[in-house]
Order: sequence, then C-alpha cells, then structure tokens
Amino acid sequence: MEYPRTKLNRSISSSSNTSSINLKSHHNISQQQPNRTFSLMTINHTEKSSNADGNTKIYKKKLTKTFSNDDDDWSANVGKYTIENEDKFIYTPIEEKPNLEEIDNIEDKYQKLLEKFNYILNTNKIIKIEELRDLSWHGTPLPYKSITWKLLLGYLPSNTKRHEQILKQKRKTYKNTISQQIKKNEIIQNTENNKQTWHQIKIDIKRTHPDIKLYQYQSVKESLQRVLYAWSIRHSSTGYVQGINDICTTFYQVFLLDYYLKKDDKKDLNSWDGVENTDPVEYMSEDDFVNLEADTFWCFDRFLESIMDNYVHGQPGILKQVKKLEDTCKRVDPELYQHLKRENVEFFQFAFRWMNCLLMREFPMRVVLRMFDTYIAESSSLLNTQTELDDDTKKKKNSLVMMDSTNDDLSEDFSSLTTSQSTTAQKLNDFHVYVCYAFLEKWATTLQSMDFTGIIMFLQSCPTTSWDERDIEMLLSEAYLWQSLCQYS
Amino acid sequence: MSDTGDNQYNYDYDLLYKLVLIGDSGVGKSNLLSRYSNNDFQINSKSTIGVEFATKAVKVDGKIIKAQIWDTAGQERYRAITKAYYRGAVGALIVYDITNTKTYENCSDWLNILSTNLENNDIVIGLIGNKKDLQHQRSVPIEEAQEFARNNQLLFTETSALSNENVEKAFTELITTIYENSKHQTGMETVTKNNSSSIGAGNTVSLTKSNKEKKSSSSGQCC
Repeated sequence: MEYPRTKLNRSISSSSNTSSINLKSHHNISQQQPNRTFSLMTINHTEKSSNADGNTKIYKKKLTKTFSNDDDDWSANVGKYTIENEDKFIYTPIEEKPNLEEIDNIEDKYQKLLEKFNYILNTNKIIKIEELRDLSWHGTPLPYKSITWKLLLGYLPSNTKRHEQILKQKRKTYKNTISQQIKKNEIIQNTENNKQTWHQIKIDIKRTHPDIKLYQYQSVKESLQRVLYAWSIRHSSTGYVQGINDICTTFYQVFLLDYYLKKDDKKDLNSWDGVENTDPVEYMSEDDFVNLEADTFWCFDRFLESIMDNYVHGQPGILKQVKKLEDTCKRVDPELYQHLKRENVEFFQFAFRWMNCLLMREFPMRVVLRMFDTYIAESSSLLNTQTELDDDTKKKKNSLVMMDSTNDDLSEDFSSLTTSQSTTAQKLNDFHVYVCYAFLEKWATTLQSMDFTGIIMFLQSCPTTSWDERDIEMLLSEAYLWQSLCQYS
Repeated sequence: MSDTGDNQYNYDYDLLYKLVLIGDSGVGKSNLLSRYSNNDFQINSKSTIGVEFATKAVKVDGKIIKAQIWDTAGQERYRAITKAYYRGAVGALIVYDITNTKTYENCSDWLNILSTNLENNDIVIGLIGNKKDLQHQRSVPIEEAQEFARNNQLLFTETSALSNENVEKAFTELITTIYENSKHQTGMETVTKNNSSSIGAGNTVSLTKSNKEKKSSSSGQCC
C-alpha cells in the first residue's frame, strides 16, 4: 500500500485539532464527557463542524480519499499516530494511560468503577472483552453502557480500529432497508401480512412504557416502529411477537443517552431524568435518528438471536424455562411449591410473562437497564472464548464477527453465528430462570398466606415500584447463588 | 359490590364462575376488565402478555357469585397459549372494536376457536362491541353485529370502557345468563374451583366455607 506519508502526518494532527473535545473526553474520565462512544462519532462531529471550519471538510475528504483502500479505518481512531520504521504506525492515546495501581487507590467507589471501565476500554487497541464482561456483569456506569453493550453483543469488534468502519456499514445497511420498506411513516410493500405486522407494532408502540414521557413523543414512537418493523420483516418466520417491543426499548434508551449527553456537557451523567423527559428531536438530527435506530436494530437483533427459542412458533424456549422454574421451586422450596399446587396455581399462569418479557414488566425501567448489564454480559460468552485465544487465532476467529459485521444484506441468515450462539442462548435463558426463581422466592412467605386469587393477583403486579439498582443487584446475586448451588449439587 | 383488595383467603361467595375475555389485539379487553373489576381505565395500558386475571363478586338471586375473569393476549401468536385457559370456562366475551371492521370480522374465528377448544358446549358467550364512545369513527353497524349475535345465539352489548357505558351490564348479563341456565339444565359445568379442577357433576355446586374447606388434596405432588 502506498501512503503519502507527509500528508498523512499533517492530516492526523489536524484531526486531533478539530475534534479535540471528543478526543479528550475519550481518554479522560474526569472530563465532563467521558463517553468513549462519542469518539466513535468523530466523523459526525467533523462533518457538523465543517460549516464553521472549512478546513475540516478538506481534511476529511483527503483522509477518505487517501485511505479508501486501507483495512484500518483511520478516521475512526483518535489520538496521536507516529510513524515508526516501515509501514507501522504506533497509536498512543492523548492522555496518560490509566494506571492500575492508581485506580485501586481511588476511594470513591463510583470514580473507581469509571476508571476501571476507562482502563479496559481505552488502554488497548484490542479491547479485552472477557475483562469487560466480568466487570459489566456487576453493572456498567451510564457513560460506558452504550459502548459496553455494543462490544459485548459483538456489534462492535474488540479491535477499536474497526469500529467506525463497521458502524458505517451497518448503519448504511439499515438505512437502505428502511428506505425500501417505509416511506413517510407508511409501509411500501402493502401485503396483507405486512399490513398486519405494521398495525400490530403501531398499536403496541402506543402502549409501550406509558409511564415514561420519552415514549409518548411522536419522534420516538415512529422511530421504534421502524426498528421493530425492520426486525419483523427480517425474521418473517418468527415475525413480531408482543413483548419484544419492551426489550427493544432497553437498547434504544441506552444508545439514546449518548446523543443526549453529547449535546450538552453539563448534563448529569448519572441520571436518566433528562433522557426520559426530553423529546430527542430537540437534540438529534434526522441522521442521528437513523444511526440510533440502526445500532438499536443490530444489537436488539443479536440479543434476540440468543433467545430466539422464546419467540418462534409455540414458544418452546418459554415452556422449557417455566418447567425449569417449577422444577427448581419443587426442589429448593418444596413448602412453597406444595402451597402453589394446593391452590391449583400453575407456574405458567404467572411465569409466562416473566419469561416472554425477561421480567421487564415486573420492574421500573431503570432497574431493567441495570439488569440488562448483567443479562448482556451473560449472553456474551461467545465473545469470551475468542478473547482467550492468542492474537493470531483471534484474528481468524474474529472473522466470525466480522462476517456478520460486513454482511450487507439484512435478510441474510447468520447460520454459522446462530449455531455458535445456541450455547449462549441456553446460558442467558438458564440464568434468567434463576433470576425468576429468586424473584418468586422473595415473596414466598406472603404467597403462602394467600389463596389462588391472591397469589395470581399478587404475582401479576408484584410490589416493585420502589425498587432501585440495589434491589436488582441483590436479586441478581441471589440468582447467581441459586444457579451455582443447583448446578453443582 | 367490589372485591378489590381481595388478596387473602375468602370464601364469602356461593358460586365461582370462570370467564374468559377474547378478541383481537387492541380492542380494549384489558380496559373492559379493569373498568369492571376496579373501575379503572388507562388510555394506554400495556399490552397483555399471555393472560392476566381479575375477580369480581356479584349478587344474583340472593347468591354471591365470584367471577374469575381471564383476560387473554389478542395477538394471533398467543392463541396456542391462551386457549389453554379456556378449559373450565363457563362464560366468554368476544370483544371487537366498533371502529375497526377487521376486529369484527375476526369474531367468527374467535367463535370457532372457542368451540373447538371446549369440551363443553354449554358455555355462554357474549359479543361485545367496544369503544362505543368513538361514534364518529364507527365502521361496524350495530344492526349487523346484532344480526350476527342472534344467528350464533350470543348475547350482545355495545360498551365503552372509557366512558364506562354498559360495562357492568355486559358482565352482569353474562353472569346472570350462566346462572339462569345452570338452574334449568342438568349436567352443565357451571362451577369451577379456581382455574383448573372443574366440578362437573350436578347443577349448581355451592362452595360455602364448610364444604370448600379442603378440596385441596387433589394435586399435591407430581413427578
């Protein structure tokens, strides 16, 4: 490959100038915008600032032109590049590398956590997914949620150099699909089946999170409707299943947070309040919406792929889980089990929804968003095995993920990925059963004083409205314990 | 009479009827039920996943009847699952939306599904045209629905869960008809205890405190 070296050097330095805000925030957690994802959007940033600064535009054009054949997407990376010997460029982050020892000495727990994430995400070009997974199981701080989920789901590869390129591809693919399917909030291919799907999604979107203002904005409703419709068209054999709209919103809201935080540095990084009460139209362009939808679509798709058994015809995954929940209860708490049986309560009557919506209907949204840190970590074990391999093999194995990432056809089936993911599928569904069991066990004493009506009424609206992250963390820990106990006893 | 907060043991009823609410997605089944059982209406209540449940006690002919009502998810996908709940039902309300012709046309499908999934044909069925408050958007003429109901021997009421019109009437009518039928017929499965074990023998079986005390031995352990 022939690079005009001198030009390169100049271009890179101008790059760090124009995007300095993003670059700093990328590497310095104490800045007001510590979100790694922002740097992934460097291109957007440069494009936007091009109005005010003509040079930026020139730079970007040059860069694209010069390296269009290069495997590495330079514009995706931020930081200084220096040329060493032949073709090798060394990447060093602008800020000092975080020091592990120093991190250990930080007293403030939240600060410490932020630094740990910063360390994993920003120290190496190749992110150690295994470490990220272990850490995020215990909760991911808001500024790192989006990037962490994308990485753990394999939407973004562990090689940060490829992030921008992949985002570009995936977003373009999504955009094309949507333009073929939907025009002015109406579907183009008006078959009976499509009409029915579109209608079903529409009426469900209207009643998704009726308690959260964000989901009442027309912009968000239309946006989510597009994502769900695109998904249903892609999975025509499964189709849209009521309840997946709930699941989709977790990704949407977490990725939306990036845009919200990007807009104004002074926003509170620890709160969902702003996101949940502001119409995204106020801070997002049309392109932003498409990008947000695309990211949501792909991550939602990857996540569902791992629990697809729950949604295919007859929902065998759910039946299996309900059975397992019942078996666990019978074994671990025979007293409660006997009581439920005596009252003629079938597990199916209350647990179907728990499985179908991953307990999302049982908790406030913020609790769900914390729970999903753990769930996504649980569902990402495919990637873990990859990171354990040495670099060379990893490259080859990564092609599995790349294959998906470079796939430009929405309707294409990822058969090879699906087979690898079947193990992860069991993993998440398996863990979920224990979370459900821990949840049921929470109310054991109460339930034992109730009759059939009491039990069913109670379990379909458990008193969790005041639950916060600590409650769900406790529940997840209990689930982990039950799982360990049951598996090894 | 209301039985909200009926979470503890209570045997203060004479009869227990299992009823099911079926019909297309979005026609207002859940709101009909919450209006009836709780006098509550939410303009955007969440979609029903699987089934949901509520109870209400009413007095008919000096007897207290406890209606145990199962509200089912309307999406076609869930039919395989929800039909398991029809078992033991003595009454059903098929609900459509008067502003949506498709939901009305599907009522004959629902009727078929109901009859193919019940061992007992003596179930009392009511047809409900909901969203009566949206007169200006009406697309199903009341006469047509009446005709359909008559031909299929269904009770018929147009309701509005939003404005609370005829909701109580629709349920009461259903319950009263079940009660009247059970008085005059023999061998009808009128009373069920809870959801699954049904008491099929005889006319009306009275579940008073004393004789209900422990009927519970039935399905203690399995496998």
